[in-house]
Amino acid sequence: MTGRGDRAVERAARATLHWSLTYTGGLDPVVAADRQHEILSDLHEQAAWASEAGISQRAVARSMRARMLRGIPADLGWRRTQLTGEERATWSAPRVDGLLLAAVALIGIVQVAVGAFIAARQTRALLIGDISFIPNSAAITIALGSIALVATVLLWHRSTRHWGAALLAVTGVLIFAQSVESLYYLSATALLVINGVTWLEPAAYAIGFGVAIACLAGAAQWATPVHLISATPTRKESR
Amino acid sequence: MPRRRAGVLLPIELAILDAGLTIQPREGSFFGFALARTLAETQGSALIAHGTLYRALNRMDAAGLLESEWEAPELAEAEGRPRRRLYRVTGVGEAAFRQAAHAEQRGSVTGEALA
Repeated sequence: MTGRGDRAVERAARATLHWSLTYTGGLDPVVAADRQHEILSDLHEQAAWASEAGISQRAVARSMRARMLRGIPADLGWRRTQLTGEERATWSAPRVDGLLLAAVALIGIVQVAVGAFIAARQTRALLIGDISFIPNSAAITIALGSIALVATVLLWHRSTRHWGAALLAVTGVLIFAQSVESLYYLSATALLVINGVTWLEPAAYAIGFGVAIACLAGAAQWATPVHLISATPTRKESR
Repeated sequence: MPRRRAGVLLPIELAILDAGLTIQPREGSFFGFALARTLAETQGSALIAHGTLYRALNRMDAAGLLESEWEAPELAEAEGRPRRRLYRVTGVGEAAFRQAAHAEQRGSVTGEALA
C-alpha cells in the first residue's frame, strides 16, 4: 500500500460522494440522505474488502471511478423517478450494449467512408491535373480513415472492442474537420461553401467531439471483461 | 423509449434475487456491497455500477420484492464503519424469483409480483 495509492482511493471515493451529492440535490432530504449513506457504506466496504484481499489501491480507485461512471445513467434515471414518482423505461444491459455497439460501428463506417471519399477525390484531382500535390489535410484524412477501418474491425470481437472504440474516438475528433479542410483543395463546390460558411470547421470539430464522447462511452462499457448480467437464474426452482 | 411492462422482472432484478437468496440463509440479510461482490463472483464480471445496483434495489424495495432497514448505529460505530442498509428478500420476492425461473424454462421471464 502506498501513500499515492491511498490518495487515489480517497480521491475516487470523494469524487463518487460528490457525484452522489449532485444527483440527490433537491430531492426529499430523507431519500437523498439514504442514497448518500448507502454509497458511503459501499465505498467503505469496497476499500476494506480490497485491503483484505490484497488488491492494489490504484486498482480499487479505478474500480470505484468505473462503478461511478457506468452508473451515471441509472443515477439520473433514479433521480427522475424520485422527482416524477414514475419509474420510466428501463433499458436492460444487453439492450444498451447492443445499441451502443450499433452506434459506434456506424460511427466507424462513416469515418471509413469519409476517408475513402477523400482518397477518391484526391486520386481524381491528381489524375485530371486539378492539383499536383497531396494536401496535408487530405493525407491526414486518408490516414485517419485507414485507422478507422482497423478500429471498426476491432469492434467485431468483444475482447478488442474497447480498443476499437477508443481509436474511433481519436479519429472521430479529427477526421471531419480535416476532411472539410481537404475539400477546400479538392472540390470547387466545397471551396465556395467553405468560403461562404464560416462556422463549417467549428461545426465539424463539434461533430467530432460528439462522436468521440459516444465512442469513449463505448470504450468504458467494454473495458471490463463482462458487463452483462445473465438473464438466466442460476438457482433451481427446487432449491 | 420503451416502457417497462408491469410484471416483468429485469435480468438485474433476477440476478439480485438469486444472489440475495444465496446470501440470506447464511447471513440473515445482505447489504449493497456484499451483493455487488456476490454478483461479480457468480457472473465473473466487474463489480456492478453503484447507480445500477442501488436503483434496482430501490425499485425492488418499493415493489415489495425486498425489504430493508438501516442497521443500529451502535453496531456500525463499534466496528468503525458507516451504517449498512440491510436487505432481505421477501416472500413475494422469493415467489417472483421462482415464478421467473419457472417461466424461464418456458422461454419467458415474468413475475406477477410486480404486476
